[in-house]
Amino acid sequence: MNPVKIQVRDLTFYYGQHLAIDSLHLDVRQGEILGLMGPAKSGKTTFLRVLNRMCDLIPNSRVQGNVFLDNKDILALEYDVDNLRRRVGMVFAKPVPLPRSIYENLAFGPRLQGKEINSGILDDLVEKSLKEAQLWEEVKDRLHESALKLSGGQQQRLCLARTLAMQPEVILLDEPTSGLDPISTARIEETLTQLKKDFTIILVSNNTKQIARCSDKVAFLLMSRLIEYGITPEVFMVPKNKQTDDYISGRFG
Amino acid sequence: MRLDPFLTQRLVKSLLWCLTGLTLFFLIFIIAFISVKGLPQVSFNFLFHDIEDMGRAGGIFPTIVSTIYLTMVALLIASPLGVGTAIYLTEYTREGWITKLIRFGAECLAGVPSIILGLFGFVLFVIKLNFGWSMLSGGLSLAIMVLPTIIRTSEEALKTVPQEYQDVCFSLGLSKWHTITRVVLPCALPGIMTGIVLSIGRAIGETAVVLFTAGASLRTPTSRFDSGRSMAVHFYILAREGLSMPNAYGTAAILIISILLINITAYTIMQRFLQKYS
Repeated sequence: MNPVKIQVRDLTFYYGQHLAIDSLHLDVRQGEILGLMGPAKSGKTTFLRVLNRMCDLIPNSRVQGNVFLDNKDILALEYDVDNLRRRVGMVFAKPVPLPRSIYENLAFGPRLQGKEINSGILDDLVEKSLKEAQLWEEVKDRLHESALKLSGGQQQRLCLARTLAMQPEVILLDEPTSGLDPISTARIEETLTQLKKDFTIILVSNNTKQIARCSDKVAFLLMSRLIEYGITPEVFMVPKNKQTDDYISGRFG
Repeated sequence: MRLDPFLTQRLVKSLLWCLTGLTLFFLIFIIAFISVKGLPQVSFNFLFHDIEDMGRAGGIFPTIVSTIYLTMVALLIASPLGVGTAIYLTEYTREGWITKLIRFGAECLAGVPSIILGLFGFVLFVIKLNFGWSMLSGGLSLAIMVLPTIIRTSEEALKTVPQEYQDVCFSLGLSKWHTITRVVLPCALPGIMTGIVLSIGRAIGETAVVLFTAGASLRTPTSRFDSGRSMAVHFYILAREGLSMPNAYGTAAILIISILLINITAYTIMQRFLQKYS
């Protein structure tokens, strides 16, 4: 069994007075896809934002508990946040290509990491990342055109490739296929199963079937609390909790 | 009585068209009037010759140099200050009483009459700091004058950059500094440039501030401690003291045409820039 990559212990998160995550307890193993599901406002996105400390940017927020990445507490004050975000990449629900060329979208992150990087290595990195995100074939002849000209599905894969180009260890995906057509969705899902060889992935999705298809473990959040957590087929076949059962079978949501 | 909506629509449309036309008419009238009166004076000698006989004869070369000198000094000082302040206000602080105070201060500064600014520049730079009537004193005073414009326009430009761009940069582990310099600023650059170009226009045409702080020497300034008269000041003195109305109009024509050219150039460059990045 793979070693534990992320340990979440007693994680609690407040937006002002509003409790967004209530004492969450959960492990993610290396090379695993953890699916997070739950209705809107259940704390899924907030949880993702804690994992790479993007939550720091939210005014009036408060976080308690511990999150260990390779046994180091990332919520500790002295933890290097910029370094954390390079190790824990994030793809947002809405694809946001920067107003630059496709190539530049991928290259500018690695280039600003501090260490010198020669253009040959950078070219290889861009190609490798685009291939991993299954976008290479579609854009290889127009790498220097504006990224804003890509279609929605291509933009989403570009954003995934941009995250991959940073060579992270963990990838957080916040509804990466919302608003995409079935073909693009299938491509992204295929990509994810390819990627878990090298990365640990946490996937948030409103699409329970997608979670069932892609993830190894699944966590169900409801009203800021973890209701159920287990191996995906088991949870979907025989959910232990009545609320999980209701959610999966679409009786509320 | 109810008016026919179709008729109302046409009435309002023609009224608005008239208002727009009137605005344009004034602009075109001023430019045409100055050009007709002034352009016959303009020649190679007029542009590149020293002032003679207090402006009754000769050219306006020293005033062109002074104007460029003063504007450059003003921009070199005001742009970093203004853009820096705008970055601080939009990126490094949360909305609070401090930002409100800074903004209120900048707005008050924008409301100070230029003659008062001139007097202030005279007292502080010319007398107290002993820079004398000079390009430096004039440039510094002009910088104070255009600072609010630059702060305001830069701030607006920075605010239009989507927050998502910053989220993306942070999520890639970029530092705040890199995020601002590599992504936010390039996106805001057209807007910031607009503010700076507006400021150039104001600085070139400013008279009162410059008259008090840069003096009205007829010589070409060669150092920042030299006095010199800008085109606007030269025009003012020529017209007011009745030295030579034709030469005054000639100066005015050059002044107004250069402001037009600067605006057109800046606009073209900005359009190119926008096409490149979006």
